[in-house]
Amino acid sequence: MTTAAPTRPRPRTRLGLGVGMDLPWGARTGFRETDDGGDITPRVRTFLERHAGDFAYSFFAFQPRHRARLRTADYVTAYDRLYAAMPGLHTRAFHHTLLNMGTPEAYDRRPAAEFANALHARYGFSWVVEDLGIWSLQGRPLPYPLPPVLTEEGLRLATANARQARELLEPPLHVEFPGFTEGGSFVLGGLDGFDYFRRLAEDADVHVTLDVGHVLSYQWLKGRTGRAMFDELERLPLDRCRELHLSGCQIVDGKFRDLHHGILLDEQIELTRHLLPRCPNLLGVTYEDPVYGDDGELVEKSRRNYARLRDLVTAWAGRDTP
Amino acid sequence: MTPPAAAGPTGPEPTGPEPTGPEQAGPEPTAPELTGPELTALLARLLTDDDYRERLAAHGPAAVTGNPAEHACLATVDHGELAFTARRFRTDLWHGDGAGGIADAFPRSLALLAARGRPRARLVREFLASPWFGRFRALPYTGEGISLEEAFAGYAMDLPCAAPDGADPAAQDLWYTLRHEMLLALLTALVHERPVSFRTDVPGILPTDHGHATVRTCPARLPARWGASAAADPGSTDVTCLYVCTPRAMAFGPVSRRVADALLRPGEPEAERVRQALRRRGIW
Repeated sequence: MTTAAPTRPRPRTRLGLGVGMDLPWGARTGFRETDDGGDITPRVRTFLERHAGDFAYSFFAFQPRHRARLRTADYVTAYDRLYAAMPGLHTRAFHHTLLNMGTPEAYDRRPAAEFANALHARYGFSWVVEDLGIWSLQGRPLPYPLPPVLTEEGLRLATANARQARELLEPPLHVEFPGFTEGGSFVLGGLDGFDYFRRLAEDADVHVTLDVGHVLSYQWLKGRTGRAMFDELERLPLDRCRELHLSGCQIVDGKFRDLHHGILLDEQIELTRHLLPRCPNLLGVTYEDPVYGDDGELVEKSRRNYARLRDLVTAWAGRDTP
Repeated sequence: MTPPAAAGPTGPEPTGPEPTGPEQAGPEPTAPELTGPELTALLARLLTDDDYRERLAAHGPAAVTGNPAEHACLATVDHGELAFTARRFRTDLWHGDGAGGIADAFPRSLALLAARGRPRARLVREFLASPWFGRFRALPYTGEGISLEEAFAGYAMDLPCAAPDGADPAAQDLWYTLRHEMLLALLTALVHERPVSFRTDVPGILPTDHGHATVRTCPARLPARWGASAAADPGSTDVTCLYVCTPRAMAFGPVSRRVADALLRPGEPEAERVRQALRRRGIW
């Protein structure tokens, strides 16, 4: 199925491989409190010293520092230090977690957009991305973002949410295909997930991100495993796809789990290989949530398929024709 | 805070089929679907209502609803995934998800509650079903609410096994311990997470130069159990406690009625002297 591309300029350059980092406050891989506004942990600094040069762009996922109202002043000292630790990575994006575009309830997303816009003014984000999920409900965070409600009314509401988020944000918005087994997820409604996402992207006129693990999790949910994992992908808005994400996944008790543990499945590499030539407007491929020790080195089990991903993306980026 | 209409998911109204006369063949009527508020309520119920979720898993959608739209939504639910998600939702409330949870804020109260027949599972189930949980908001984007600590304390202080007065000292101990731990948590949040994204409905919390303070009366036996170093007057049944929190320190303990009055009554001539004394200690 052919879909119309958004009315924004086509990328002239393939960025290549990027890194996406979830950096919670207080975790060993994350941000830490300091008397003067916060910093990355020594483990993150060591990783960036060793590996920032491997990547062409970066994003980090927003994590709240505390329960104060959202103010950039509470975050920029730590974010300045994060970016100072990767001075060569000039292309930056921002993974939001407060736009809550999958929710069916009325939700004031202006503070989240204003926060992102203020950070954009300081750091010059190339885009803002967030999964199309229900991140919180009635003001209470959910353990994992739930998929949006797969009914016509759920689609209408989520489309309006995505359109509004796009209009509020100054950087381009990339809406990410939701995870269907992100820890524990249940789905309300029976619409097809790929059709739902394509209709939303077209009607909200947004770019999209395809998380390869999320796509695989949906294929597993529909029983499309093995060679069937390539079936039906043309129903996704591939023309609108600007970014692929890959994070560590695993099959647990016969279920596909998006565990973000850094270890990529062979199937993720194969699906990425399949998608690269089918996404004509793709900017880059992000290795999301690498897992490393205090020495900054990737955990041993993750290295093989990380290297395969890097080689695959390097070859794809080299075929760029401006 | 109620989000303005423009901030909500207020896309164009769905356009229904054109009116058709008896001779015209119209499109197939579409089944009514749950609205945004109905979907929100259904998702919340699936996460918080054990009985509803268990009947759904055991007997299917027909056992919990006669509404065809709700039935259609529920038909796709994976019950194992739903149960897992609901468990994680409870765990995050108990242990916190980045921020503190119930277990961190109420260690003494939880031990007393367990001794009075309220272990963790029962507490969480009852709390989720209580109106207090409905008032809790961790995020302010669907309207402002109270903090988890205030909501949980409100629920537990309403239990029959907790009472501020009466003949049962154990019920008194529980009620006052819940209030004590709630005040510690609230004052700490008001100082260290300012400006907080929740409101507090607890009366009598005063702003100070660098933080917040409050004064409360409790049975004289309790402050020492809570770790207060200053002792109550011997022989007194009740004692007045001052709670103060600044970025430098959190402190609580018995104070004289004169000190309490100086802080609480407008225009008290002693007030400035008391405040100066507290300033010198870095706790005003």
